[in-house]
Amino acid sequence: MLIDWFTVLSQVINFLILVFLLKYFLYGRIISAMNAREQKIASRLHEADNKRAEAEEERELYRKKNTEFNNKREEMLTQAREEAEVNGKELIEKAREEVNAVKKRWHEALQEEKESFLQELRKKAGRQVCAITSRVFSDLSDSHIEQCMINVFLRKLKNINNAELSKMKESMRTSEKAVSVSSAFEISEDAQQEINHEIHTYLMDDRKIVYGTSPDLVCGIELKVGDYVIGWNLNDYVTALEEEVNKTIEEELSG
Amino acid sequence: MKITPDAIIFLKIGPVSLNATIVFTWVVMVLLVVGSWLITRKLATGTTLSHWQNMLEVLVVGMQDQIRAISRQEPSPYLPFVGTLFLFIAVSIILSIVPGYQPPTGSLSTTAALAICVFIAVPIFGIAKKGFVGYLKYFFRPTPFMLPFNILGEISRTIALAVRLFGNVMSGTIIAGILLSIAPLLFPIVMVALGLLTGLIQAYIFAILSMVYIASATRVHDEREQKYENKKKGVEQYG
Repeated sequence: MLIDWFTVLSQVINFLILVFLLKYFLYGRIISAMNAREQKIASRLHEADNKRAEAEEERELYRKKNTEFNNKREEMLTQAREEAEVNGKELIEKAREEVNAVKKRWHEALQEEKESFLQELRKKAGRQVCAITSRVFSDLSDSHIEQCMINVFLRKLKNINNAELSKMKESMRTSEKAVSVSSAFEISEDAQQEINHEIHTYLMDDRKIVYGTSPDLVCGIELKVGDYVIGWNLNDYVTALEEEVNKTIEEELSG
Repeated sequence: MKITPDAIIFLKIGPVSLNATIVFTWVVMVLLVVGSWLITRKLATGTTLSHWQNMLEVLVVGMQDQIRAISRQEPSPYLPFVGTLFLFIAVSIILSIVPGYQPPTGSLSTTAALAICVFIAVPIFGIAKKGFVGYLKYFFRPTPFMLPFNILGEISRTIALAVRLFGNVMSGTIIAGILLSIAPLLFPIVMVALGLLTGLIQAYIFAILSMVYIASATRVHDEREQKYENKKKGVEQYG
């Protein structure tokens, strides 16, 4: 008999034991190791995917930021350019205004200087003319220029027309002030009495007459009754001279 | 010359006899279990692994692929049974190159035992998959008259499985023995090599056929039942 049933039974049991032992020692362990490896690889791949996705996101973010930055930079540059342009225009305008102001000041200063120079010239010329005239008078005749001025003044007073006279009287009536006679030189007592006599004769007023000297008059004499003034002054001639000089200066400057 | 290693008895106590089949089966078992334990006690789960682990993984994955290809199902429930069948038979045959070794698979008792295991495993897997009634329905298809033929088919294929393996392994051993007596040099070596090849093929065939039978008890049932159910529904609907 080829089949031994005891052996068959033993082999069945042996085989079943082998199945269970191998299931525990071989298949189970190998499969779990493979599964663990697969999971590890899958998790690594997943991690790599996540990292790639993160990297993509970050790249996108940075690209966006870069674009924003570029846009902002462009915007800021444009703004700065515009501001610079505006500032430049303002500065040019300001500079122009300042230049104009300086020019104006300079013109004013020049004008003032010119005026003061002319004023000074007028005074000096007046004095000089007066001195020369006085010397000429004294050299050529026995009379003095002062006396001549007093004479001219008195003659002007005598020849005053009615309209001027009424104006003078009106002014005298409204004013409480004393009648003053100013001159560039000291008027002698005799001359004062003569002038007093003439004024009292023409104005028929006993009001006190005050005499004084005024360097502004340069060379001349004047009577002041309130707001009314009458007299003779070299200033008129000097003014004509001044006008001439002024004209010459301007011609020189423009030339 | 002894046809079967059952006849080589090492120890006999009453009806219990410790013959070469059982002893060499234990040898094979010890080799397989200790080898597996040695290799799998320090398994690497990283990307670098030892050659032995690599070999076992290739083996296990190969078996899983074969089972999946045949059954078109998840191989995990069948792997321990079918894989052990293959490994046991293959190692039993490969060891036959060791002088003095008698392959346990050369014993009809062993092949019968393995065939009985398959015979029992088929309904167990079928019932686990389909349920008791669902599995039994298979024997009444296509008509209840086919019941005896179906049962006969189940038994005959189991016997064929056992005898096929036994015949092949035994014939290999016997041919080697005969040739050894005729031409003692060189020729037997060639025959042993050929025997190893046919033996491995037999191990593969045995495992594959077992899987086919188990698959027929699980998957084929599904298809047949599906067809039957569809047909039944069609008749009810149209007719």
